[in-house]
Amino acid sequence: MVQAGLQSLDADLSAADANRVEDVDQTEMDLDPQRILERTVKRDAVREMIEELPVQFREALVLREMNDLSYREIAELTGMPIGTVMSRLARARDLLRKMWLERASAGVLL
Amino acid sequence: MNCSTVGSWVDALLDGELDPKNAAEVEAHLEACTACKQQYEAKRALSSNMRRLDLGYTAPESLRRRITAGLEVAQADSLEPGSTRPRPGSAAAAQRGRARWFVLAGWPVALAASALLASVLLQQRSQEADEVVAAHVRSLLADHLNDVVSSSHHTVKPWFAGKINFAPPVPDLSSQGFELVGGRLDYLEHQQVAALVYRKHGHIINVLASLPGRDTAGLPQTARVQGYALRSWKQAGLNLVAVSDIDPVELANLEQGFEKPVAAGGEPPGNP
Repeated sequence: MVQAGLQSLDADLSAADANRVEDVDQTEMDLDPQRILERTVKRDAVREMIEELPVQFREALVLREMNDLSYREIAELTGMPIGTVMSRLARARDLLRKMWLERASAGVLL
Repeated sequence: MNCSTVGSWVDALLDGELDPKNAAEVEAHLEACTACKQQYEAKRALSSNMRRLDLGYTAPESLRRRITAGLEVAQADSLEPGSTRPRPGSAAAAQRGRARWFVLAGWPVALAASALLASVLLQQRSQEADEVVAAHVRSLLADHLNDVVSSSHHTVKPWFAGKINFAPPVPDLSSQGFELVGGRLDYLEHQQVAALVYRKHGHIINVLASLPGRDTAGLPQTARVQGYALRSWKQAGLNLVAVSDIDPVELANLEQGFEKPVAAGGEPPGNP
């Protein structure tokens, strides 16, 4: 279980796997207990990582990924220039990916 | 464009924020450079994973609509030539530019905007809400939904007597489409709670009843956690919280049913 969870978290980072997962029927995925558990574990891990991000990066990331605001909207909302929005978002994703890989290799994702 | 200059343009491409010319340049570099291409694909997978996981940092839809509407108004307004406005390029214009949409869009939008920032950034994940959801998921996963299986509140309610030191309300809500499935004992923060299980349209709803001994400040009246809807209320000296993957509106209906059960066959929300 631990190993399976780790592999799936890590593997999900590859585009091929992201596509594969997206092909899975959403309803089927939501109902399978194993899937529910994996999703819950993964969700908690990603949340923890997001909360570890410095606030200026978290702000850009959350507004973009979870609230689907455009760069311009984020810029107006936060008062930062659009270029800063872009670089902070890039940095946020870099940091998150680094944390993700570190956790996967250290085996502390679960 | 090379690896050192492509930098965060990769993210802008991913987010669909590049104009066609720049997008073509970045794409051309990605085709030529495996390392940058990998970086791009990894970020794309990361982004789609985050969106799929329903992490719960999303502002309520109504709030988001108000904000984007406010931003559009401000943008449109800023494009109109106004005689009272400072000439573009002047220092005053630059200074106003920053505060512009707050000023023009007015307080409601400004307030909504700060509420959005607060709701997504300062969102303290409620430990208690997490526990409620955990109890719900646990009950579904471990096939431990019910210790007493009965659709009759006359069976479920007495079952709790002697097992827990209060009598949870167990209304008959079948006329509103909530079918009583059963009940069980569960735990929230190490305190025993009575869990009542209802079902509507195939959705399982756990209603957890507990004595108000513990600090319940962390549990808002309504919440969405990990895609589950929560609704909490107080009744007959007890704290109740309903949790389900059902439409939150149904939880409001359920609460109403608990507070005002129909007279016929209804269970008065009596004290223990």
